[in-house]
Order: sequence, then C-alpha cells, then structure tokens
Amino acid sequence: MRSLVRVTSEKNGVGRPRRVVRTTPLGKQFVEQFDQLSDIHLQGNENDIKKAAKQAEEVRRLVELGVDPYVRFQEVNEIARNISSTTQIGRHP
Amino acid sequence: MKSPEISQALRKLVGILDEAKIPYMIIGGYALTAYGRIRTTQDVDLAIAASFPDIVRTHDLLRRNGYQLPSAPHREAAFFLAIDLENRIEFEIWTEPDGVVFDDELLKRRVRIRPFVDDFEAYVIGPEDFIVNKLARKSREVGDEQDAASVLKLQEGKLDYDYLMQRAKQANVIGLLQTIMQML
Repeated sequence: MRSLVRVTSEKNGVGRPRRVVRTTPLGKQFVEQFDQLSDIHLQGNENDIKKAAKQAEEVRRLVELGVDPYVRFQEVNEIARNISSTTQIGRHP
Repeated sequence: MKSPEISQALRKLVGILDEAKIPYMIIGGYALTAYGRIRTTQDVDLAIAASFPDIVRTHDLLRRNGYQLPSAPHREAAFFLAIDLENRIEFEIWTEPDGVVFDDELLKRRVRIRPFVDDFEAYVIGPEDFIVNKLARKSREVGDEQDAASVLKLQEGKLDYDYLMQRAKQANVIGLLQTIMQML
C-alpha cells in the first residue's frame, strides 16, 4: 500500500527505541503540493490585514512621540507573562 | 518594566553562540517589534546558520551550559528546543526556518537591535526575510499574516522590494505577498 509517511524505530542509548516518522517520496511530493496550494489563500480576511495595518500606524505614532517600541513591548509582555503564570498557579492548586 | 528572566536568558544564549562563532538571528515576536506591530509572545525564537556537525556542537555546548534539550540532534528537524532551566525560558532554535535560505546575503541583512533598551545588542532577521518567513510558515495562522502585514505597512518605502520579491518567489509565497500588499 502507498503511504505518505514511514515509521521506523531507532535505538538511542538506554530505554525504549524511539519511533521516528519520516515522509515517503510520495509524502514529500504531497507536502510540496500542499504548500503550493496554501500559497493561494490567506488564512485571514481583509479586516484582519487592515487591523494589523492600524496597529502598525499606532507604533508609528509611538515612535514619533519618542517611545522605543521595545519599551512598550517589554511592558505588555511582562503583563502577559504575569497573567499566564497566575493562571497556571490557579490550575494547579 | 521588563522581564529580567528573558533578558538574562537571551544574553546568556547569545553569549554562548557568539563564543562558538555560530551565526544567529532573533526571529518571531521579538524580531517583530523591530519592524512592525507590538504583540505579546511567551517564547523566544532564534535561527542559527549551522551545518549538521555545528548543530550537534551547539547541542553539546548548550547541554554543558545547563540547558535542557528534550530531543537529540536530527538532520530532518527544522528546529529544536532548548530550555534555560535557571531562568525558566524556552527557546525554539530554528535550523531550517520556513522560507528562509541561509546565505551570505541573509546574514548581511541582519540588523543589530537593543531588545531590552540597555547596552545589550543582538541580531534580528532583516525585515524582508521576516515577512517571507512569516508567510512561508507551514502552520501559518492569521496572526502570522498580520505580523507580515504590519511590517509591510510600517516599513513602507524603506524595504528592498526587489529582494523581498526574489525571496518570496523562492519561498513560493509571492501570491500571498501580493494579495496582502493590495489590501494595505
């Protein structure tokens, strides 16, 4: 039977042999053609792109005001990390 | 306000790569801030220009420096994880980033940035290659397209469009790129 992937076992030191999944020549061809097809369509729509453009404009204004984007980035990222770690603590009491 | 863990972890990793003479560049969310919109990101993505023996050498080096490496080096893997246990930061180290061709031109187009707004400098991928990398991602999502769009918008007129088109063509994303450019 023709398949897209091939599973092999590899012994690497102690423990159970690792299962390695590799594409067959047919699988490789499938992935290449899939990649070409995925070039045709955007995952988002025009509104998503326009929203990103608006966010870029906001950064432009920040820079004009003399704010380094990395300063703002560190601020929002730190808030997000704190929220994320608080949520994880909540999940594992 | 800044995360001391990420700052320390990135300094440490860049120091190790510099010492080992492994060319690297920051990609992903940390590179996006240099050229486009600001959005949060939890991990740090780096790409390294390395042959397979150099990848093995990097693995060994990182392990000796206390990083946890969940997988052994593999020729067909596009990236590997390296976890800085001390700072609790996970790095995705890409050896074959989607759509990116490691050559002298790509390395020449890297840009030095100061991600923590202090004296620490590191290389980020150039803006044109950033756009192509985002559009060529195998698991491309709306957010990747928005990242690319924001760079196209903010860097309008400053990009090397001939180079961008050439790399987009190589990566098979010229159609996507043109569609986004028409929407902006």
